[in-house]
Amino acid sequence: MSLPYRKILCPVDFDENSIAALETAAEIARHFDATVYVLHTILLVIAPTSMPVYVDLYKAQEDTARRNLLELARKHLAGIKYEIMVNLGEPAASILKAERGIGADLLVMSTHGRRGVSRFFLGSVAELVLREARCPVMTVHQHAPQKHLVGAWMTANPVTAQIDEKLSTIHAKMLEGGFRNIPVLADGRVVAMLTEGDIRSFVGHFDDTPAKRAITQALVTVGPQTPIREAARIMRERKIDGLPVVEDDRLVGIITTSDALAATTSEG
Amino acid sequence: MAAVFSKILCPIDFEHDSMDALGLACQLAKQNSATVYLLTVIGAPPPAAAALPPVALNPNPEFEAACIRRLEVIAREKLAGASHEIFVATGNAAPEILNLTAAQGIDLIVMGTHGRTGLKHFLLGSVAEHVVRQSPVPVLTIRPKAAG
Repeated sequence: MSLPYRKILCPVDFDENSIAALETAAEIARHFDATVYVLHTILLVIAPTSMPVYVDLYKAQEDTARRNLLELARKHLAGIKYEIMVNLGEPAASILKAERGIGADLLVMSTHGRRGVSRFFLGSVAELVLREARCPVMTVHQHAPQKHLVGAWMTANPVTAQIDEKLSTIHAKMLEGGFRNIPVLADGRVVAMLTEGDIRSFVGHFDDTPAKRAITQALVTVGPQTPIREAARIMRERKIDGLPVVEDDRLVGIITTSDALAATTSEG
Repeated sequence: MAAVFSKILCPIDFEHDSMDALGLACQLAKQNSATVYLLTVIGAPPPAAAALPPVALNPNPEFEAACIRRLEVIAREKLAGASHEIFVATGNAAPEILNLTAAQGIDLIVMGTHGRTGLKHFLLGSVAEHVVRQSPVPVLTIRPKAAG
């Protein structure tokens, strides 16, 4: 258990939970210049001792797992030393065996189950490993690393209006969706946020007013990687209740004061 | 080199396990130039006390002060100069640990797997289990050395 960590074992399935764990392992490995051992365990349904001949059936599965692991490693472990391991057997036993085998000094894994479910159900694999591992075990939840960022709280792919679109159709969209803000696009880029208040001042002229005449706010945008706190501060200071979320010049979402409130009152 | 963690919470129940965890938290804190948050949770009064007038619910200030002093001693002896903060809360351990995590923007919790109610080898400490399940941030658990 001594620092710096040299050998980090990261057991993965091929789901989002494992990816969060792998990214945390990567971050730590980068910090300590450690090697990440990425382990996938193929569940053995038939005990190999009783039916040795069938073990060959797992060969194809093993090859696929190895390919998938390599792809995962290339994507999430760029610039980090890593080793790929595929075991057959029962996951907890396989993880503990690998831990001992490589002499891991840190194990990083996800608590099993999807967000929501995982609050009530600590996976039996994670629990066994936590109890039995010799080295410290770091458990990671799927959204843990991004929880304080806008990306975790925004509404993705929001409904939009076009710069020349008439207020009548925009108003209808807002009523239908129950939005108080709608991002306005020109040539595919977000140019403004149109609010309920902007529209209200043209009551009676919805049919002959295009969006561009109703816009009052200067455009402020945030990115998915902006801390939610920062987005909240911008909205408070400018007295606005929604911000377009932009990544690579493309509108990817919208974040509102209610989202910011949800983020600050969430208990995880 | 960018620090991975900047605020490390280490719950302390004054038993051996939490001292192992503290040692690890301390090393990590130094590596990351992070602050260690030491938290002790004083057990809540029994449910019957809730029916009594508010004064009965008031945590014993002397006990609280004693806990703070003890944490200060631990910090001095074990943290070897790492920057730290001390907190004492009253209630159930796991929810208080999670509350402090949210309130202080903790980014890593380091704790022993057996706390005050451990059946060695058989049970993951109930506090650790609760925290691992519900924590929004990574939880680093460390098994007592004796069992390894």
